[in-house]
Amino acid sequence: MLLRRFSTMKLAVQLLLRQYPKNTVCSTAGTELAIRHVSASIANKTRKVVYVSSSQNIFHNLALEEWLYENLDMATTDYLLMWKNGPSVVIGRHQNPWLECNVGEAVKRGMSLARRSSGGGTVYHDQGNLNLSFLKHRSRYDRRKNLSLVVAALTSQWDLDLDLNCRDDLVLDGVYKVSGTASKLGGNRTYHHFTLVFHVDKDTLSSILLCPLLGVDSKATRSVPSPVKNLKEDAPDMTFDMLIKVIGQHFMQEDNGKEITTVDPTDESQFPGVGSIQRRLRSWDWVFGMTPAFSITRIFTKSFPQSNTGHSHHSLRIQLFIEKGTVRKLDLNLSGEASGGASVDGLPFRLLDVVDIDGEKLEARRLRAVWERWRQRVREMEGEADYDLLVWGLDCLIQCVPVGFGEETEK
Amino acid sequence: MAATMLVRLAKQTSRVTALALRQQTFVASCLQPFSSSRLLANKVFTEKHEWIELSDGGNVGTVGISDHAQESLGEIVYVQLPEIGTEVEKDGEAGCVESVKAASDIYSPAAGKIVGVNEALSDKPELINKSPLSDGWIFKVEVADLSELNNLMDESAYRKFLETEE
Repeated sequence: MLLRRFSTMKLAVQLLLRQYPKNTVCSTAGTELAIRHVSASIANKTRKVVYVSSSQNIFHNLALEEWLYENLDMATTDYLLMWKNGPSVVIGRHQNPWLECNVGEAVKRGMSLARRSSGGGTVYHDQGNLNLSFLKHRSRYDRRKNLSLVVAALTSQWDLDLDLNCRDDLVLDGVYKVSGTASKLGGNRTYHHFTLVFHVDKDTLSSILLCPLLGVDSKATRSVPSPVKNLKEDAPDMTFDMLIKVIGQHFMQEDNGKEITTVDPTDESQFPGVGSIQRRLRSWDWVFGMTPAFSITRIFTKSFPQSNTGHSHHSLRIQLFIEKGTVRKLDLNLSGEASGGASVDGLPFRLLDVVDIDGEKLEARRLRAVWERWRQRVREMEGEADYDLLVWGLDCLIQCVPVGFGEETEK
Repeated sequence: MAATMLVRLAKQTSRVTALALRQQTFVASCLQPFSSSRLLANKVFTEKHEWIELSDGGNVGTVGISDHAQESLGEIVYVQLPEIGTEVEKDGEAGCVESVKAASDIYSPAAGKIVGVNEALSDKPELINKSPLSDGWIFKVEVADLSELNNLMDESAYRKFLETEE
């Protein structure tokens, strides 16, 4: 089973994890000092607020999280937002969607493909996956504290062998990853969010996170597969409602246990501007256009029968350079050995006459029109000596081009 | 005759040696790492841990993050550079760095136009960790109003600020 996690880096010391300001202990303090200390700590007490989203749409929920991150008063209040999504693939901010999952297959199966604003790797979500986001002031940003709270909450209710590893992942039975961490920091605002796999469809998870694209060279941050186990396998009675209740209560413990608030992430009266955040997150420009520059290099070979004698063997090298999800350059190189028959040295040039992909966005609808235009041009050359070779070259090229799906085709 | 030749040879040798020595000294002085004071002399810092340094007499400032900032972030694995030509606001977002699964926004210390980015970071994001004050610079901004830099901290003020933060 594969849950992708970010791991191209070494285990760096996480100095970001700041602790609560240490209480100064004064051994000579009298009663008066002690009273002052107590009242100060009440005044400084951090309020706790828990929200649960009523939506299962990944874009609604990521937009709500972003809205809360930008607008909440975090000076003296910590927030916990929880939600679940319908089947979706969620990539990290600096990742390449075509490398992290099977984009075409995800769309075919009606899944959403989303890019987060936080770092880290790719995860697959469905209704068997709880999402938790801790939104806090920078001075209280502490990923291990958040994760430990969840471990404490879960183990208070279920008999689980659950632990926190040094990479801020939650590990079940010592080996299985049940949670992947990521965070976003801007000035004094932060959120740390992570998933909790309790009843996820593991077959879909492992199949959808396979990349079908070949020959890619990229500097984007990569995910690495990890073995996954559902928490429900060790705690059969576990449900989403039980999870949000027990974790929510633990989170609010310090603030005398208030109620969990259910919110509608599409409610503009409560979250003015959340709709435009959602549209941005859905857009092709964000999901695919934010992909770090990459290139695809592939070599195809084929033999063609010659009319008079024998065969000719050809090898076509295709190189595509892609920036912001847009083709910047296409290189073609053909080498071949012909035993008799027409010379094909000119093929790359002939093919380059046909294809005009420089500056083209890798968006499904645009590309469909591009393919049609190319095929039409090649059809017009039917009957010419290297027609078969042209058809093959075009087919190879189309195979190399990754396709993205913008908001027009969003399901 | 032979003696004269020997003397001439000796003189030549010593001249060559002197030249070599001079070259060595020169090379050594080039290789010497910049002293931190030299790097910091013209830099001013923001409370968000960016630094900016103006080009001599000009209004183009080079921006990076402080040593303290790179140390708190941990190993940087990706740098999202701002786009050349875009206008940024003072304290507005101008890029992002990713480290230890965290995406952290970079802010511009002054309003202006982005006129250069450190392309080397695309291949070597770790330059920010290795050399935050020099090779790990992030972008260049054409500062619209130089007086915006007046309130930023010099090195010693920034050090004091760090102490109060901790």
